[in-house]
Amino acid sequence: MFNNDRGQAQAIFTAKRHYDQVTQRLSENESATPTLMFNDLIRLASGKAGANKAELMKKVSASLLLRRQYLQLVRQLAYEYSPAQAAASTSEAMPGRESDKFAIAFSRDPVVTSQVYVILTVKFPTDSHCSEGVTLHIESDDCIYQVEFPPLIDGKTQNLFEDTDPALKALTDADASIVVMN
Amino acid sequence: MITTVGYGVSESLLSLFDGLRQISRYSDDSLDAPRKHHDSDIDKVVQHICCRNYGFLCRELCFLSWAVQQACSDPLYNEPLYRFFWLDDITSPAAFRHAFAQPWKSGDCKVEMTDSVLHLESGNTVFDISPTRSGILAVMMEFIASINPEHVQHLKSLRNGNVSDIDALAKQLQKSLYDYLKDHLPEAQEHNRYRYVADWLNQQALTPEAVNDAAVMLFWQQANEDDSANKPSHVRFETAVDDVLDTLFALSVIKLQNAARFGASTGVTSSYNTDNSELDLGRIDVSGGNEPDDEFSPEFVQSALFDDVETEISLASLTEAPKCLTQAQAQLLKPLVVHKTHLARFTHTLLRLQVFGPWQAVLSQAKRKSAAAVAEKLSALPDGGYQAYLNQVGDSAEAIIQVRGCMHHVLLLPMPQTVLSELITQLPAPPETVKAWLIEHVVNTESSAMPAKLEQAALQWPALKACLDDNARRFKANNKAGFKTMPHENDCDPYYHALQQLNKLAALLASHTGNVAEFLGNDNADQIFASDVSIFSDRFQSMYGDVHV
Repeated sequence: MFNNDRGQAQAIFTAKRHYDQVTQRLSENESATPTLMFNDLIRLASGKAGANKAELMKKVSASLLLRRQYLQLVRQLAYEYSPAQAAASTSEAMPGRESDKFAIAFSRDPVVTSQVYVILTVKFPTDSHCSEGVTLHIESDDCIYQVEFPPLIDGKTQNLFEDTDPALKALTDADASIVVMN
Repeated sequence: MITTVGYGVSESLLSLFDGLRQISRYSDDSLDAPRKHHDSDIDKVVQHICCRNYGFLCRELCFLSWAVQQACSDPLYNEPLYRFFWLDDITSPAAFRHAFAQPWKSGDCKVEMTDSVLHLESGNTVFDISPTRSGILAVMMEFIASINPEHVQHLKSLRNGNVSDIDALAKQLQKSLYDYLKDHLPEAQEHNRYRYVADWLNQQALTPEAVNDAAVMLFWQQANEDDSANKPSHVRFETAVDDVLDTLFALSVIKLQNAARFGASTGVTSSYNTDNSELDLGRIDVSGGNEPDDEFSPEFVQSALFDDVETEISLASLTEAPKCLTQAQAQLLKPLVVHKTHLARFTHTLLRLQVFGPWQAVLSQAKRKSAAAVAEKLSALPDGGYQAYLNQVGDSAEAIIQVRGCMHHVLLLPMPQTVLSELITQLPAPPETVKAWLIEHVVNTESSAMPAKLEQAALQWPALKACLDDNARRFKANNKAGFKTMPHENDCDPYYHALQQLNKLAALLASHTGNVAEFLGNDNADQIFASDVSIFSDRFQSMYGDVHV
């Protein structure tokens, strides 16, 4: 009986110490870089990460495990997933991409030749595509890019990229997988 | 990286709970957005985790996940689990009820929202979940999903599952948490600390009841001089105080539990008073001995620690939006909150801790620099002595009064009954006619008519008017996070929770201030301080002085 009391008191002591430590944590420095939460992954995947997008994407890109989990999530929330293309040779400098549900085409700006229009066509758009816009996730060379397009008009939307933009490079990469989000 | 610096909780786990507190609602991605989870729900989950009492919570979460995937829909992504927990942020009872508004039935399975609970049936198994559990379950879901997102995929697999799948997954989650906590919440170090204090009490032939301020001081001094191998460190006075007071707390909880059990089993409350047998009730053996053979349940630990205890004060959350305390104020109040059950009994110890603890921290830093820095800091005694500390606590109490005024201003329209009931106790009693008018016109008034009614009330009761005007001025002058603009009525929950905690904190400070003032008496403050300076200076000199630099 007394030994049991001793064990119980010890367990209470331990639990209280742990509880105090977790709930009384005050130092600002210690909480400066909180763990990436599952909530962050969902926000990022659904295009709702707001001002934290770049920082979160950096964390995801830096970890193989997180990247895998993130891409799994992205595919689950996807409207269409287009895997890496077969390595067919093409004479086009920037070959487009087309599936049953979407198409991507490129058009260089005739005036500012360092800029390229990416034209996205969504064949069966959702309400969110027409009201909030379309988010694309591109995985290329172990990097993940997230590109946002304005809301669709007549099933189409476009975005302008600098020639040197790595996201544009990823979009034109036949080996990249592209996910169009719902 | 897993570290166990400090008392044992890993940085990863601490950071995970920090992350939980910082999540904002999905619908609002602004920096000042309201938090998704209430601190009270997070603290509840922390209790379950720290007491390792999460078996039922895992099972409840599995049943809820099954029910969500049967009865809730997600037209956009066809991912009802994501929608429920993350896209729609179902963390409140009202939202929970709304999400399950449509009953679902298929074969012998059923999901139905009754007046009081979510009623689930699968085969012969019946399981009920109260909507009031929605906040805790949402926190638990985020916690396990953030430990390993694969758990969410497993929960998703319950879509086509039955009761045996639910039970199997609940066990799997429990095991996974157990494995995680083995690395992140190690107990061995804490056990060692507890045993050291218990053994010391035994050596000194001290019963827990006989421990006083002098004993705590003696423990620190002797523990410091003890150079046995593998003994826990007690260099810092704060560590020694924490260890002794937490040990006494644990022992007293067991004693109370045993007394309650004895009372319940005999069905008497007074008969044992006649023969002094109550002195033996729940007697705690601190006399060494082997490891207990008997298993004790995590449920017991959690119930002993947290049941019937008022809501904990979370200083960390009071330093965030709505920002009620500065970091410095929270740091000052931390030992009082941690040892709130010992405020009266160990007034002198807490006073020493509050004044000489920071001095020791400064010396410890200086020791890393140079001998000259240590000498300089050793000669710089804590400013103003105990009276200065009392003034500092008084300043914090005043700051709490100010911020409570701001809270009353914020909550006046959304929660007029709550605010008025607090104000009535603070203000000089209103005339009976005003009281009757308030009951008739304010208590049952619709929210749209409330501003006009309050204005009328203020006209009849000048003290109320002056108070409301004061509060409005305080709010206007407060530029801290959460007070820059008036929050929307739907975002007032964090303010209400903060107000509840501030009220408790104010009571705690009043009690502590009273204890300290009484202890110091009218003229003794300087004398007591001088005596303590002598004790601590000698000790610090031997710990940090020239010979050690």
